Amino acid sequence: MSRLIAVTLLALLLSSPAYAYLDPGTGSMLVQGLLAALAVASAAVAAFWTRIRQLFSGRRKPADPENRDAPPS
Amino acid sequence: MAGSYRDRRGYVFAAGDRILRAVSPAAAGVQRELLASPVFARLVSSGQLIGTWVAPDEASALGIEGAALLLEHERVPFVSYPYEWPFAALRAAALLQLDLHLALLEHGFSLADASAYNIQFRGPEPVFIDVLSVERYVPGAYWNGHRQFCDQFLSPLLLTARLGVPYNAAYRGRIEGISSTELVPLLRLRDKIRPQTFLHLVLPARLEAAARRGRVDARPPAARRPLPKPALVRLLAGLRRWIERLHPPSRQTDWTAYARDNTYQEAERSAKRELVARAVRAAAPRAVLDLGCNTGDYAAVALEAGAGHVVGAEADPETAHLAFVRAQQEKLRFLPTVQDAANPSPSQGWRDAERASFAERARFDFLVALAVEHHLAIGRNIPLDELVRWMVGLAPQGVVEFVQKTDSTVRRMLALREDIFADYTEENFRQLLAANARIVESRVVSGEGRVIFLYDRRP
Repeated sequence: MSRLIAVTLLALLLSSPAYAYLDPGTGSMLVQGLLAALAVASAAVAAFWTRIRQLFSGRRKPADPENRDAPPS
Repeated sequence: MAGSYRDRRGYVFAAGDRILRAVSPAAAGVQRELLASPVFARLVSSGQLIGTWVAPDEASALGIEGAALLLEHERVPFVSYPYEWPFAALRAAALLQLDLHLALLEHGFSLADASAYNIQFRGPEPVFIDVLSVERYVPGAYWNGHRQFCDQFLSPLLLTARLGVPYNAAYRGRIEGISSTELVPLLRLRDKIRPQTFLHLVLPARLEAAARRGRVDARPPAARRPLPKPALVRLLAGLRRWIERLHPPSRQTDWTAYARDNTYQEAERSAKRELVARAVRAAAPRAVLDLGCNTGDYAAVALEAGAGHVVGAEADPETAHLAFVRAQQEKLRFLPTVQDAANPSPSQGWRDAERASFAERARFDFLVALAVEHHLAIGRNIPLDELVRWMVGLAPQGVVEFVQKTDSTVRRMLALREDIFADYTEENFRQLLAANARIVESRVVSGEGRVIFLYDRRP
């Protein structure tokens, strides 16, 4: 897994960059898409951990941890 | 007003001395909400946002059609552009952009773009001038200004901080900043793999290249996975922490160290200071131009003598950076800019009218031009008659210093070249000055015979 990441990073760093104009925001939008996916994944991991902890402590918390990050509506 | 054509939700125009902004029906609702919000009052009173109010005029009386709201703005003392800002100024502007975005997010607003041209300076204090950039925050929305922020703030700062290259010339030429696809190949591997550099510049540049080859594509806003607000806040706050710590790669980033190492000729300096202070007190100018401002010694003198504000023009970006840091530390109403007198900022952009030239913006009441004339006349071969006419044209009154050809500085400048400056004499300088203005006073201020002339060209 770490080798795969290393190879990916190297590929990203070594291939030559593009000068052609595409869409001013494509790269930025894709990076933020990755961050959004990361946020969802980390929330899932956090929820998973909370469940495990609850399982061992034998108590249930009233707050739903998955909604912690929800923006106020 | 030039440059405001991009945003179709409104435009800025000048009516006499006033700065007005017509707002389209589509944006008027948000603007009214913003004006009524407590965050607006807080940002204006802290000086981060330009004073803005609903104009008392009827829009139709000014010949404006289709505007749902007419706003009026406070004026800034001098309009400057990011390519004229020293490092510390661009850094301060970047931090303001991020602080403002973070503050607005707390109150349900966001920023539609991240243009460095939306920021101006009052002395060394940055102020955000484009209220039309403020929009409602839509939960899950991406930061649309990310790419623009990187081009107009981050990449130029990194060009200097990581590679030691002043960004000003490249920025002036590009006008929209330095794109990551241009900066990334210049960075060294050890810079590229820093997490923040990788996230904000390397990865977007790579993904954009991949998108161009059709390997990936960004989804339209409706189909995107939402970016949770805390993730957006982390992104902005992370950039803020990073940029705050960026410095030009110089040993002398603190002007106090510079001043300490340059304390020779103290008697000469105090004679100059006394003369400048007296002249400024008599003229009581609102706007002063300090041409060749160095680290701002005489700007500080002029301000102490009652000048409203001082704009500095300094050809060396590093010196201008030191001057800016000094202005911040001493809270001087002094804005040092990077400006080469032999190649001042042109009018440029769309139809050559988007960004005004230095000459168009140079509306000064008083000129301070000390120890600078010889750099232009001898260092850059500017004919003395043209130089004197140009300098006197910058302000109706001022002080200019003439440096003798026998002066050690000029001797050093001529050491390796032929002396083609037969007309470079104090007498000729005096005659040329007298042809353009009244010489109020002249005084020898150094052992090497430097002379300061006080001129007045008003009728």
